[in-house]
Amino acid sequence: MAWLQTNTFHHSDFSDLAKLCEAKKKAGLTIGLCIPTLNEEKTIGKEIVIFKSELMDRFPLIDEFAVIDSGSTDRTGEIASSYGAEFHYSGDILPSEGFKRGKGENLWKAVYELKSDIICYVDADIANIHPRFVYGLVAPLIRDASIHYVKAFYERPMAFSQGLRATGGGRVTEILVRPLFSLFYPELTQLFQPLSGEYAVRREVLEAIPFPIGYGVETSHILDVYKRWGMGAFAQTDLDQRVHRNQSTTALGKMSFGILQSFINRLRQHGKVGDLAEISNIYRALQANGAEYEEVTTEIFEEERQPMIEVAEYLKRFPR
Amino acid sequence: MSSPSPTKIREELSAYRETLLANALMLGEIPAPAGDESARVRFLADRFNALSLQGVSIDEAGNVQAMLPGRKGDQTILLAAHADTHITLRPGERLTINVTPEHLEGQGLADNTVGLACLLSIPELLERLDIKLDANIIFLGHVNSLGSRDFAGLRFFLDHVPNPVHAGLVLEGISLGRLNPSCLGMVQADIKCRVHQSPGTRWEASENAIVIMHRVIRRILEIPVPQEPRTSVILGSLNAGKTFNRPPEAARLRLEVRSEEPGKAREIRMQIQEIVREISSTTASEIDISYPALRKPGGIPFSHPMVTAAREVMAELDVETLIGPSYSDLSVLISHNIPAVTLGLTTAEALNEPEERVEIEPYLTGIAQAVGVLQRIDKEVATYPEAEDPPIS
Repeated sequence: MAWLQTNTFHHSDFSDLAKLCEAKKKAGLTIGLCIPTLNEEKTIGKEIVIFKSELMDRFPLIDEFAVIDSGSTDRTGEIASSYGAEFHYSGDILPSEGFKRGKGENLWKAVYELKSDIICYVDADIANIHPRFVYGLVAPLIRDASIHYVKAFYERPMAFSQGLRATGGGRVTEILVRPLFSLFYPELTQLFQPLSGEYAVRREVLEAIPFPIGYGVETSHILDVYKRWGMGAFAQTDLDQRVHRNQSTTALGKMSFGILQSFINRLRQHGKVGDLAEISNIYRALQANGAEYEEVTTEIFEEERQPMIEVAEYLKRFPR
Repeated sequence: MSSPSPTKIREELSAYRETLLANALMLGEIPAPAGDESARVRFLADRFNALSLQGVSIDEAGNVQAMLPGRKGDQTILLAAHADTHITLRPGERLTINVTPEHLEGQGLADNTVGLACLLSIPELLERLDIKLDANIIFLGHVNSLGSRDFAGLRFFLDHVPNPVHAGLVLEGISLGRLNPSCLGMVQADIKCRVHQSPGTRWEASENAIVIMHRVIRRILEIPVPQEPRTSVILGSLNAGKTFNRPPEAARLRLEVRSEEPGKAREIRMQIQEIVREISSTTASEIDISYPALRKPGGIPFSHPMVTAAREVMAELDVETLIGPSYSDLSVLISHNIPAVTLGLTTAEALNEPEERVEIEPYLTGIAQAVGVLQRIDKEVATYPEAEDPPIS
């Protein structure tokens, strides 16, 4: 049977949490949850309360979780700590490696900070947070040892006229990433939402792959895991609706620029393209102010963190 | 097995804070306008099942109920909270509840998401605190309670519950300190006026439903209303017309009469009915009056042991008690001769507004208070006299 049928799940497949916890115990696995944050005071409290109550106190699915922050200036840290979450400023973790600002940095530091066999990443800006955002992602890893990387996808109610539920990705996925995958990695087009910020991954995978610190982290993860472990290592779970802030088209343009940098780097590494000119790190946009027209430039440099397994302190903390 | 004091329960609750708040957060995001509470009720039923309560079911009226059997089981206490809220969402809109260290924030929390969340939390707390009760406890999330629905779900339950209920505890979100042992007589009246406008009549000559309804209102306001025993006529809603320049053909007035005096609400109802009849017959209009809700006054006296128990529990928790009559769920229990009180659980701001919020620390005290009162009722219920049930208003 095709991967799309065998490795695509719905969260309701795993809603018997008592059974799932039993399977986790039997498999001898531990699970850590990482919530990367930057000024998320509005929703962080709810995520912590619900995950702690439902997935630690009520059902022992999560063994540890940490909020890893890029330097919030609002009440994110205070709120997270008040509900008993471990709150870390990213720069305080592995200080010998320094601090770089970006979501990917927080995800990378989580590999060092958390001790569990499986790490589940959930963004902090989800308004309709529910335990399924975690159990839907870790369950395929608990049930099937051959699966290493589970991605979330969501219902996007865009068109119902044909009686079909639209399950496409976001704008950047459909306009940028899907065409690129179709051109260079057709098998990966089976992923509904390769850019979703919610995924669960085994430690042996996370420690072995590099982490771009910016917009390209999800794309490069997909390409690196595909290259090394193949399509069979992936699974995806339908988590129904995800309600979150909508980004402006300008912000999506910058995001696309960062993703393209990571993508082109991987094309080169994988020998998929011949000679390419040196690519620019400057994102150029235009702005009209009355009769004044001007160019607005932003430097976007997709710096990468090396695989964690190459960091000496990590090897001390997790001896082989 | 333990029988902790209310103060001890309050201390212990801090360890379960996330669970208590998660119940409110998850329930609060499930829309439940009156008559469409099924998703909220299903959530409760699933949770009650997971807690291994007995007889978890959703009845014909849509209420969810579950029972925790008592050690003796010869008495039954009903713990009730209404599942519906005043919030009706527009298409595509969703309910969002958030939490800060001090508050839960979101519409519908105070009336009555936190009451319902308390109902859901109590069986779990009893288990975690190892509190065993002698009486059977029925946990009831009842539907169709608000406005003209007039507690249809709770009425259905009490009309059909197979075994006697010996005492009742009603949980309302606001306000902590509220203790209602009795209820007011209440009449809701819905007055609809329609005028006859012949085709082609010039606007200056047309009858105007607003003018006629104004005459009705003026006459209603002339009805003498005693201050003692407390009685009031509340004009709640008036609708008529659509534009600046077209005399409306229809107008609608909704009002409520409340009184602590048996028979007074009924007397005022008759006077309003007479006014409507008179104005309808003397103008070119048809005025209909209907009564979506009629409730009896009654209750248990201040000296009833259940009131004493509640006051003592509140005093131990340093909660200032505000005793007074209610005009809510309690009336349905009273009309079934079930001694009962209503308790408030926390304090709120901006009720039913998008920025509505309830306070967390008082809420935890409110839950401890509910568990404490339940423990006391459990000890004493076999000795309780029935509630007074005077004739209908």
